[in-house]
This record gives sequence, C-alpha cells and structure tokens, in this order.
Amino acid sequence: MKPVTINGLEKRYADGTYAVRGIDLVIGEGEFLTLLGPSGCGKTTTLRCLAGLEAPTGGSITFGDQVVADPEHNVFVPPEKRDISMVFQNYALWPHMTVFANVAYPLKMAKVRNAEIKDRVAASLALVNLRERAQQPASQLSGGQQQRVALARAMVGRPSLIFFDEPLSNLDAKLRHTMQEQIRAAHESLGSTTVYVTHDQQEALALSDRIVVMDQGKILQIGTPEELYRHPNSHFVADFLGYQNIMDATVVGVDADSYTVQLNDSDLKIKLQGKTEKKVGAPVTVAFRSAHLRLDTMPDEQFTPIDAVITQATYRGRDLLMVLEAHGKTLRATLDEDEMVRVDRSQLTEGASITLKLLADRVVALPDADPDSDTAETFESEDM
Amino acid sequence: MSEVKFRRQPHTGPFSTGLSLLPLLLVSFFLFAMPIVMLIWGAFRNASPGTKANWSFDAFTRAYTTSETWIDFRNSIALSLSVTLIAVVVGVILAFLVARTTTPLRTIVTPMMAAVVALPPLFYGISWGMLGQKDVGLLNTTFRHIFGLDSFVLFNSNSWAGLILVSALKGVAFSFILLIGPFGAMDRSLEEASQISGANRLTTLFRVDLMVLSPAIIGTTILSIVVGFEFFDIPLILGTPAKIKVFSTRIYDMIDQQTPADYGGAGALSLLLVAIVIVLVILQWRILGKRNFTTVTGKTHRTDPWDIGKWRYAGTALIAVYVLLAVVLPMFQLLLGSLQSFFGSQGPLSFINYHKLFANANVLQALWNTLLTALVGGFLAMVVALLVTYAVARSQSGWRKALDLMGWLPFAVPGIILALAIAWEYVSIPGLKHLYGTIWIVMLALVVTAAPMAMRSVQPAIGQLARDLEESARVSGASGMRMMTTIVLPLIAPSFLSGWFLVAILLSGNLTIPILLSTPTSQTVPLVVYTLYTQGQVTQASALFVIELLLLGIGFVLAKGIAALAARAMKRQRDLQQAKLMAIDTAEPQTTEPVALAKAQSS
Ligand SMILES: Nc1ncnc2c1ncn2[C@@H]1O[C@H](COP(=O)(O)OP(=O)(O)OP(=O)(O)O)[C@@H](O)[C@H]1O
Ligand SMILES: [Mg+2]
Repeated sequence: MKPVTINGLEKRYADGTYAVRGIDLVIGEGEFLTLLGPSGCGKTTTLRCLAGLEAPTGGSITFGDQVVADPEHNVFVPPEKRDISMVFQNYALWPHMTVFANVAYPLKMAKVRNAEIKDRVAASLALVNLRERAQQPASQLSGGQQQRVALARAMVGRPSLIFFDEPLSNLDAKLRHTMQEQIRAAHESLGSTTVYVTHDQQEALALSDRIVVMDQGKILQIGTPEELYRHPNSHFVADFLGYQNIMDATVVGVDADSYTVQLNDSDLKIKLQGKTEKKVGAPVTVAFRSAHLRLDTMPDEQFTPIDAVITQATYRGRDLLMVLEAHGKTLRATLDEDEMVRVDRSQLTEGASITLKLLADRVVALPDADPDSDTAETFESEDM
Repeated sequence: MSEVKFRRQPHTGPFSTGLSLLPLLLVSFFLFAMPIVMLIWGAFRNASPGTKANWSFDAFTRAYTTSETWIDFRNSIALSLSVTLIAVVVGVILAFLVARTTTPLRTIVTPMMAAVVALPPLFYGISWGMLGQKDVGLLNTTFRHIFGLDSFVLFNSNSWAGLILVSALKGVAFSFILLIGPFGAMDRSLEEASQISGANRLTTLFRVDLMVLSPAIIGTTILSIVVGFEFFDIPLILGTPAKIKVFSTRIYDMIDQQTPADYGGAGALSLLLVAIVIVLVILQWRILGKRNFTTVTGKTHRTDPWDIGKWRYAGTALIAVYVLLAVVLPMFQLLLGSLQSFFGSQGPLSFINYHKLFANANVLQALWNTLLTALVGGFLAMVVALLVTYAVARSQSGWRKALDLMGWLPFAVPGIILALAIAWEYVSIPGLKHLYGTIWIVMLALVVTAAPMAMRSVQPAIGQLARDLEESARVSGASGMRMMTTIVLPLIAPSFLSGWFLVAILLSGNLTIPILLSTPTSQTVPLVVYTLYTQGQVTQASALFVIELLLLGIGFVLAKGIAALAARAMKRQRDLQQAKLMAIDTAEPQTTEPVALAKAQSS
C-alpha cells in the first residue's frame, strides 16, 4: 500500500564486493514487482536493503514519504520499524515454537490483543490450509508446509510491503505452481506492495505486474511480463528470457513499415516488421525463439523460409528440440506435439534436411548491437 | 514516523557495528587481556604489586640465573612429554577400541572418560597420594598382606613414577575425549579399499587409519603437551614431598613459600611458560584450524565395527585396568579414608570426620563459597562466552577479530599464572584494590579460567543458528533486543544450561585460583581439602572431598540430562532446515482457492 522509491542504490560489502551499483526504481502502490536475474546479480542484496537487513552504502530508499535508508544523511530505519514482512528461501520458521506461535509472532510484536491474535492467526493458517496443524511444532512439517506457514506469517500482520526471496526454489514443480497461486492471491487480497526475487523467468512471468531484469548489480530492463517477453532490449535480456537464437546482422533494405536484414556471414535475409531509424549498412542484432521456427504457418502470417540440415534432435516430451545448420548459421528450433505428428519422424533425424518457416513478426531487433555475441549458449532455456 | 538517525554505520543487529561492540570489547579486555598486560608490566618492575617501583630487569635476572629454575624447567618438560606419550598412546588405543571394534566393555569408556575429565586433578592428587602412601597406602598394605611381606613398597606415589602415572590417568581421558570424535567419523570404506588392495589388517591400521587420523592425533598430542606444562595440583601434592618441582609449582612457591613473596620473579618465569604455550597453541591451530580439530569429515559414513578376534580381550583388560586405576581404586580409597579415624587406621569405621566437618564454620563457609563461585561464576562465564561468540559470529565490524582473540587468550595462560596475573591487576589498579581478598576476586578469576571452555560449549549452538531465523524476527517487527530474547536465547538455552553446569563442575574443583587468591574468609572447598591434607588431616580431607564429589555428581547428572535436551533441540533445528518437500505434502488436498483467500483476508 506504499509506493517505494529507490534512488541510486549502491551496496558495497566490507570485503569490497560491489553487489549493487546504482539502482533507480519506483515501485507503485499495490504493485507486484519481481527482480529477475542470474545468480550473484544482486537481487537478494537489493531486497535486503529494502528490508533493512542490509544497509546500503549509497543512494536512498523511500517508503511512501518516509526515507528509510539514506547513508549520505545518516538515515537508517531498522527492519522492525519498516512495517514489512518477508518470506525467506529456507522458510526461517522458529523451531522452538509451534506453528501458531510462529504465525502469531508479528502480531505480538505489534502488540495486538490476544483474542484478536487468535482469530487472525487462525484465519491466516486457514488460507494456507494448515489450520489443523496450528499446535504442532514447526519442526515437524514438511518443506512445503513450512513454506506455507512462512507465507501465513508474512501475511498475518497485513504489512504494507511484502518481500519474497526465492521462496519456492526448494519446492517441487507441482507444489511450486500451487504456491505461486497462493502468493499472487495473497498479494491481491492484502493489496500490499510486493517485491519478489527469483532467477526463474517462468515464475517471474507468471506472477508479476512488472519485472526488473538485473545483471551485475544493475538494472537492464524494466517492463511488464509481456513487454519483456516480446521486446527484450538487449542481448542479455533476450538470452535470459529464452530467445535461443540471437545473431548479428546488417540492415540491407528499408521500407516504409518494414526492413530487411541479412545475417552476418550468411546469405539469409529476414524481413522485419515495423519502422526503423537505421540506415542500410547499419549493424543490428536480431533474436527469435526456437518455437518461432515452424513447419506450417497460419494463412495470413508472414514468414521467411529457411532450408536447414538437422545436426541434433532431442525429444523432450512436449516438444522436439533441433539444432540446425542453415545458411552457414547454427539455429535452434522446437517442434511442438501438433507439428511433430504432421511429419514422419524418420524425417526428423540427424542429417535430414528440412524446410522451416520463420515467423517474421516475432523476430525482434535488439536496440544495441553487441559485437561479440553470435550464439546463445549462456542460458539454456527449456520452457520457451 | 520520524527519521531514525544512525552514526556512520547502521545497525541491523546487536553487535553489528564497531560501536555496539565497544562494551563487550571493554569487558573482554578487562577480563582477559588486562591481567596479562599487568603480568608483563609487573615483571619489569623491581617491587611488589601496589608499591612504588622502578623499571628494571632485576626480576628476570633473579629468576633466570638460578640453577633451580632450569632444573624445574627440565622437570616440567620431562613430566609433560612422558605424560603425553602415555596419554596419546593409550588414548589412541582406547579410542580405536571404542569406535572401531566390538571389544566388550567398550560402551562404558566414553561416559567414564567424561567423568574423569570432569573430576578435579585435586581428586587424583589426594586419592593417589593416599593409595600409594608408602607405609599405610591401600596398594602397599594390601600387597604386603597378600604376599606376607613386611616392609616392601610396591608403589610410592610421592615419586617420579607416581607423578607421571597419576597425571597420565587424567591425560588419557583428555586425549581420549579429543580423539573419539574423529575416530568415530572415520570412514569404513577407506579401510575396505586398503584391504581389497591386498593389505592385511595391521598394515591397514597403520597405513590407513593412523594416517587419516594423524591430524587429530598430532593436534591432541600438542594440546596434551600444553596441558602437561600447566599441571599444577598433582605435582604440588605428589611432587612436593618427593622434592620434585615443576615450573608451575615453582612459580607458586616464589609467591607463597617465600618471604617476601617474589611477585616479579614469578611473573618473569610465567612469561616463558605463556610464550611456550602460545607457540604450541598456534602450532595446533595451524595444523588443524582453530575450532573443529575433532572433525575428519562432515559426511555420514558407514562405521561398522571391526572384529579384532582375540585381541578384544586384551582390549577389555586394558579398559578394566584403566577403570580400576582411574575410578575404582581412588574412589574406594577416598571413601575408606573418609571413614577412618586416622589415615591407615585398622580400627572401626565411623562418620566422625563428617561430624567434625559440619561442626566447622570454616568448612561451611567454604562450601557456600564454592557453590556461589561455581554457579554464579559459571553463569557469568557462560554469559560472557555467549555474547562474545555471538558477536564474533554476527558482527560486521573489524573489531570482532580482536574480540575473538581476547576470548581465547585465557586458553594460553596456565591457571596459576592467571591467578598471579589477576593478583597483579587487582592490587595495582586503584579502585579495584578493595576487591582483593574477597570471594569476588576468586570468582572473577574463575570466570576468566572458564571462558574458553564456556565458549566451546556455546559455539556449536550459535554456529547452527541460521541467520534467517533472526532476520525473519526483525522483519516481523522485533527489535534487536527482542529478537535476542525471543529467538536466540530460547534456541540456545539448552546448550547454555548444559555448558553452565559443566563449567560449574570444573570451577568447583579448581584449586589453582583460590590457592593464590583466597584469604581465610574466601576459601573454597578444594583449598580447604588441600590445606587439611597437607596438615596431615588426611581423613577429614577425604571426607570433605566425598561431599564435594556428591555435589559434583548431582551437577554432572543435571548437565548430562540437559546436554541430551540440547542435542535434541539442535537436531530439531537441523531437521527443520533440511526438511524438503515430502510426498505427504503433495498428497494433501490443495483446495485453497484464491477466492477463499481473499475472503478470509478481508473479513
Ligand atoms: N555478505 C556479503 N559479503 C560480501 N559479498 C557478498 C555478501 N553477500 C553477497 N555478496 C556478493 O554480492 C553479490 C550479489 O549477491 P546477491 O546475494 O545479492 O546475489 P543474488 O542475485 O541474490 O544471487 P542468487 O540468485 O544466487 O541468490 C555476489 O557476488 C555475492 O558474492
Ligand atoms: Mg539470492
């Protein structure tokens, strides 16, 4: 229920590590914002600075109209005075307390009356389906149950800000899905502002109003899940969000509402939709997902045909991942189940030739060309 | 809400900044470092504490040019090395028998060793002094009786042999306790791999087991040498009548048996001993790392015992002999002595000694003093240890290293020297002088002695305390203090309590501190026992020690009980952290709908 303003946030640890190097961000009231990025990029550090568990070494953080951290002016509000709550990766339930006592703790700290504590804890536990377990020691629960208790504890005080640090990474895929729903529902019912940290892009896309992609302590892109998914602004973000094909190219023709690029070291030309400022001869980086290389297309879809040789084919259940040699380039394509049934599987073996259609309007041109990137090996995405 | 100001650095936990460490640093400096500073300072003065003096090297010249000094120094080395040899060899054999074989009686060894470690060295000095008394000691009279001999002396405790044997009884227990952990953690598959490669068992034992465990054995050896240099009670009781002096008893003599007392000289000698001990301790840390010198590996392995055939009975015999010498005989002699009207009397047994003791106001005072210093002193030691250990674990300030170092300092200072150093501190610093001669200075000195042990007992608990347990309290609205009292303290309470009792047991048997720092009104039981014994009131000394042992026994049982609780609590914490998703969890109905959630929240 409070907007959060972060200005030039910096965190340098005592050993000299710069974990966060200048973050500017405004988180709107009631927004569900996710910090997404690879391991070690400074997500946790940013979150801990917001929570007051870590003191920033530069910049400022404001909750509503209250400055909570501003090292230059010697302002630091300790965590207990920030009206927040947090769910930790390892649940952090207190083993010497029952489930009830764990959930009641924030209310006790807020000096809520006992009768009210009882009701609110019960309600909170009911939401996560653990009402009957109230009197058990927290240590007797399974991992998933523990994380639900942690969620109940985070919600019970109706804080204006809730933080999550990879809360689901210890859970299995199925439970993770259920928990995602519960977390999103909790966010909506409380109306609180939520900051969520994850390195799982699927999770970020499913949960967030907005996503912040971070790398090496800096923000690379901020946007809604759809913006990020469809319009990554850099090689890194595209890569992280599952664009398996990222290649350098050169503009070879510009029209009114489309332009054509030719991949470097290749005769393959791709027609891109939309206007461009770029002139003929300008370098550009293009990216597209493996799923956008199709066998067939809708009648009205524009596409570029690509002749390829399969160098590797991996059946993965819901799809078939192929590594292709085409026009002097290495491409990745996936065929989903529908497409797979339409071809003879013997045509999809290694060494076979195949013609695929690249959906032209899904190919994105990344704003700034990155000279030393041709392949997308860094983040192997399974889910796109 | 108003803005909360902070100085330079914020404060995310108690002790996280240098400033919040300051009180603790000051207390630690006063308790742990200041005595040593005063000791050094005192060694370079040419007069007693509390009097005007000039700087000089007199004390050093005086102390180090006497030939006796070097004789005693040699004696210390001889005692320490010979005891270490026995202690480590027997300790290794026993640890091997207990951890790796099916030797009968092996299960009694570990608890018995814990008891022997906890028993005060004074107990061994006195009971063996009696057992091996050459005229009326139980060992000698029984032997003569059986073989019809007249004046044959089987064993004289007041001799080099007595000194070494009796010290070794305690030394064995000490090294066993240090070795049993690594021996237990030894991976059986390493042995199997060796045997599969064609090595027989004996070869395997020497080339694999002993090699893998050699860091632990070397570490134990060094610590045992350190302890050997610090021996005081046993050489004092058994060595003095035989005119055998070691370094620590010599330092004591220079103050207590000499008029005027030579504080400066004693200080000068102490510095050499402290230097030796520090070098050895650093050596040991270098070899094994400071804390986990008992860890071979963190993983759990198969550790099925080895069948060593007929050798098991040799093992059993060794265990039996040790039990006899370290527990049964001394206990029996002490009890018997306490019931005799005079030592060695063949007359009827009676409780007359106990009656006399309870009629003696001094004794009652000493009992009270002991209870007070052990319990309160032990508690204070635990509190200091807890705060220091916690601060060292959690502080982000560079000062925490200084704190860490200071806390371990008493470990490198033998008890008698600590007592001397504290005497210097309290007599020399104006304002502290009136504490001198009271029971409080005894207690403070005991707190310092107990600190390393106290730290060791809280360290595992604090090490296991996951940081996010504390952080989740902070974000739930608890202040630093509130978090300490509601989360940290309850979680480490069992370890704290069990540590407290152990420390109290150790303190209540301590002779080195009161022997230098007590006055007639501030005596403790060990000191009274020692005085009675040296005055020839051996039977009364025994009776008083029996009373002390009874109290210790009660404390021991309490400590063990609480330690079991502590282990349970720690296991619970570990389980909690390791709890991963179980099948039960997914099997549970997941009917929570977002709608239900929203409804309940808005109500
Ligand atoms: N207490 C610390 N002292 C020194 N460096 C630290 C500390 N905590 C984190 N770092 C460093 O700061 C950087 C950012 O760490 P952070 O924990 O914020 O990463 P993260 O994005 O949360 O990564 P992950 O996904 O692995 O949790 C890392 O390089 C890390 O090594
Ligand atoms: Mg992290």
